[in-house]
Amino acid sequence: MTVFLVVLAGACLAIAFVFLLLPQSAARQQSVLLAASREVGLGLTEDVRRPILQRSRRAQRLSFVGGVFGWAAGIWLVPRDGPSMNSLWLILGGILLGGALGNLTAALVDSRTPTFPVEIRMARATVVGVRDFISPTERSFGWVSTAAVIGGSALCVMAGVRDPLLLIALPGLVAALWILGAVGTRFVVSRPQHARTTLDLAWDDALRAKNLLSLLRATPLAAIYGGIAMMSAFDGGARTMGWQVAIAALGLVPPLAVLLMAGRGGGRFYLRHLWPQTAAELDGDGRARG
Amino acid sequence: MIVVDPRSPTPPFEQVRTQLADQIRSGALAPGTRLPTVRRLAEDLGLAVNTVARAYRELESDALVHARSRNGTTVSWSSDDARRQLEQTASTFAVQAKDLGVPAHEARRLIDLALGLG
Repeated sequence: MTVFLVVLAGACLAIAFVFLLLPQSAARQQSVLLAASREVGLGLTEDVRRPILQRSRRAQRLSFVGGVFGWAAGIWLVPRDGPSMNSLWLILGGILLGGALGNLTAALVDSRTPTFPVEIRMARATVVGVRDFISPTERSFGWVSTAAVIGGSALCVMAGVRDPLLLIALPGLVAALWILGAVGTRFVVSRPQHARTTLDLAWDDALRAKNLLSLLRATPLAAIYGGIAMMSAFDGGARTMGWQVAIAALGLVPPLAVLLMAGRGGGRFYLRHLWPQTAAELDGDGRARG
Repeated sequence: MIVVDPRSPTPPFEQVRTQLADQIRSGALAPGTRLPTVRRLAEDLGLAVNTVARAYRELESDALVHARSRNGTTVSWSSDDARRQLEQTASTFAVQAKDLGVPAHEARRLIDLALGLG
């Protein structure tokens, strides 16, 4: 069974590597561009096509590579003498942490690499911050999820659960992701933006916002696994109904956060904050005019 | 927005200074608006830090901006007390409207209603 799982994981990794390394077909590139344009509400010109493709490919590749490293680290950290069901959450958490680090790296590389010859340069005349790219609600989901997992772990301790993975590793991992998200987003936003036209700058804002959202969403996603682990601890020591209800309530917070984040989209928040005129000019069906 | 053309006969510091001054005088940059740090603007525009610092210094000597170590450089408030209070209230209103996701036209409509023009 173990050999089968290793072969299956190896095959999945090989397929993903090939998918990410092979050049995309023209039709695939076109569909990626159109999907990005619809999502962020910006038009496409010949000038911006290549940078958008380069950057989205870079983000995919680096978050994948980070995820693979996180996966390997998770497996390495699983206790050799007695792996438990919670070991799985450690590995999944490693994948999310690695993926988030990959996303952060992609955002930093983007800010260092002008994708066009430097001639005329354009810059914004006002200061921007994380609040211009990510809505307050989405920013709050990170600490809410972290608090829920830490609170749930504390309840598990009081209920008599003694699994060190559940009580230390998972809250630690979720907290690490939250700190990485909070510090990383500020750092990325402080990095320079290279643009020749307003469309260049708007696309840079859009791709930056998308990257920051991916970075922030890793925390509630990891917290979901923490919530499931907490609820699975019912049999491990949560004896009374009161404890069970309290732990279940906290365990439900992260999935709710993820559902709300997914429902809100968030892809165009930056547009309302940084490009209010463009946001006002958008058609009802969500496509940019002109 | 600020655009710098390295092929222009106008020195880069003067291009930055003129555009910022025009935007402040026209109201495109409202009083209290924070300008980017010297380093950030220099990196965005591909200029030397000293070039942008010189532009900011000249704007400050024209009383168009106000540089404070903690808050960075901001567009100067009006010297008239009543007008300054209104400018500060408008700035707070604009920040809250943005944070709440209220579109600009809706925010303007609310001001019109408050003024009895709705």
